[in-house]
Amino acid sequence: MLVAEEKCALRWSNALDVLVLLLWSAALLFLLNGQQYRYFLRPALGVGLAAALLTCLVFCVAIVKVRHDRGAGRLVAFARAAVLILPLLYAMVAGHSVLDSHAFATRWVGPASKADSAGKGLQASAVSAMPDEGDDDELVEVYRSSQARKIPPALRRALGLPPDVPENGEGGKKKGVLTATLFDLAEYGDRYKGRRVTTEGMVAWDKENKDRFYLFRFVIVCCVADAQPAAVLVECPETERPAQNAWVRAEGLADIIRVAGRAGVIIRNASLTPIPAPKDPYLY
Amino acid sequence: MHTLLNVKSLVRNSHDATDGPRKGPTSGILIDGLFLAAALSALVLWAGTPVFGTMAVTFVAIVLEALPFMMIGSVAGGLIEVFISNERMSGIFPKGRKGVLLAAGLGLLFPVCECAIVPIIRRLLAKGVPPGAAVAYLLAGPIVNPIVFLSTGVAYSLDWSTAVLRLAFGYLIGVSVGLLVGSVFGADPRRIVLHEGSVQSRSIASCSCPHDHGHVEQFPCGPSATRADRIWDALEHGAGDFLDTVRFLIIGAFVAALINAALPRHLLAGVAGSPVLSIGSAMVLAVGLNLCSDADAFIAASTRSFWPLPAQMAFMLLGPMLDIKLLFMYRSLFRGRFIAFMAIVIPIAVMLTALGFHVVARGARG
Repeated sequence: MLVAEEKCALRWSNALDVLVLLLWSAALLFLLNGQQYRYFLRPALGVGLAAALLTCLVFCVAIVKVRHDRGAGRLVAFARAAVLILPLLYAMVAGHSVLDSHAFATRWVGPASKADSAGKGLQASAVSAMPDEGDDDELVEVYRSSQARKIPPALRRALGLPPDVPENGEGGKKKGVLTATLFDLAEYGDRYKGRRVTTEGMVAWDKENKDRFYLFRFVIVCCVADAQPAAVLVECPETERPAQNAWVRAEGLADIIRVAGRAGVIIRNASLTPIPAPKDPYLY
Repeated sequence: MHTLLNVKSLVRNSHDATDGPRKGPTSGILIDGLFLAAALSALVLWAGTPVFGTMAVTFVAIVLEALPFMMIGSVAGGLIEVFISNERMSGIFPKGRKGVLLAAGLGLLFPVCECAIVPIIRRLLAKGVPPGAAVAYLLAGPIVNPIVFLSTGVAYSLDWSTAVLRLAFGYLIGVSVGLLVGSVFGADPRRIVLHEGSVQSRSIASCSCPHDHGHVEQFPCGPSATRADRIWDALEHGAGDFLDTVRFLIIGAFVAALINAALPRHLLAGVAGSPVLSIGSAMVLAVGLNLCSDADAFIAASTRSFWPLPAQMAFMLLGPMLDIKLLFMYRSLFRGRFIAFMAIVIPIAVMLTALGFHVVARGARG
């Protein structure tokens, strides 16, 4: 009788392990399909998830093949299985959620500035309250041209990928207006000072001043846990201030402003255009 | 004779593991139950709130990011279990200081992050590697490795001196804590592991292969097993280790995500007035954020405006050694009192290192 029960427990624990691994495999397949995992990780880590999917399946085969008795009772096996599938439940609930103005308020400590940095090797972001006399058009253009390499149209057609969409949603670059990501503006703000710029991001209200708001995007190194906001202030009348968490394109004159002792970029006289949430919610 | 003694020792160990008190499963159910109750309550009560949204996304992201690396570590642990005999392992990890010095630098040859290293350490301890050497590899491995060196250098705008310092300090702390563990807990892994059954080599105790286990030293999975059988056995070991350890990763990631979503960063930046406060706040953030050692340098570099370099260094040293997620993962492996020991000793070692660095750097600047 006891032996029969042990055998039953063995089958249960093995079957549960396999079931959990299969559920994880299905979830990983779902996340990889259409690169849904980009809501959590940077795109390059998709390779790791693909490897994890393969390993899950191999683990399933190994468990079924070896059928080792782990000696765990049913309750232990069920409790463990429930813990293991909990992230899948949370992933389903989280859906396509992205870090929003709440996360911005928690993680934002203000822009880094040269004036606050000290010591060897501590050159921070290039935003400074002082005018940058070394600023030159050529450097800006070189910087702007050093963007990520794009897939050639022929290869794109061969792979069945959709046609490349120009960065500027209006179909191209406007003359005299620099298109910049929020990361560009936050890190190299001095280079844009006095220039007309256009950039896109999410809205977070400035609690102290209703005539301006933060335009932000999160920059991810590996995953959402390390996401840091890159943000600029946008000046606009209170009546035209967009809703929290709305995606907008702001075009205006870039300037440097000091907030709480730290220098950052502000876009003055901004014209705002609502835009749909981008396919890539984060910057990488 | 020596082999016979080893076999007898292993048999005794396996009996200890099966006959002795096993607190693991009961406490495991309690932890699992409490965690599930909390997590499901949060899901029901707070779903849809901004804090919950941030927490849920962060929780899933931490688990997804760690998953592939934990699998690599688990498979490596399984291969160690099946293909490396205890005798050979003793040769790789000599006892005493030499073993600790070697283990702390092992990450240069076998680079692994802090998530992948836990299942490996689990198997190393099961193979009789002394606690001092195992802890030295556990702490220094995720820092003293070429991938982390490169990521640190890139994060600091190719200022390689920061990367070199991080590796040197990581090695120093790994060796120091490893030697301390060796002197306090001796050379017997059973003094620090949670219960022998959790990490005991299955070669004798419960391997399901139909063979004579008396030859375990030469053939961990039996002399008659084919290479394919042994590979499947290694993968099954890996699957078991993965499923045992990932449970703690999930619990740790949940707590970490809660802290990550609720902790206002500007509060930590605000207490950065003195060296002790800035280093202390950096250490709190390192424990709370639970970042991968490959990525944390980028976050440390982004704090340059309010933290001096010693505080950034403390952030980069402590995170890969001790954070919320790792504390829970250590629970899958170590006894509670040993985890408490580590939770005290590691922050002290990091604080002393960072303060020493601060004093030296200030002296150098005149």
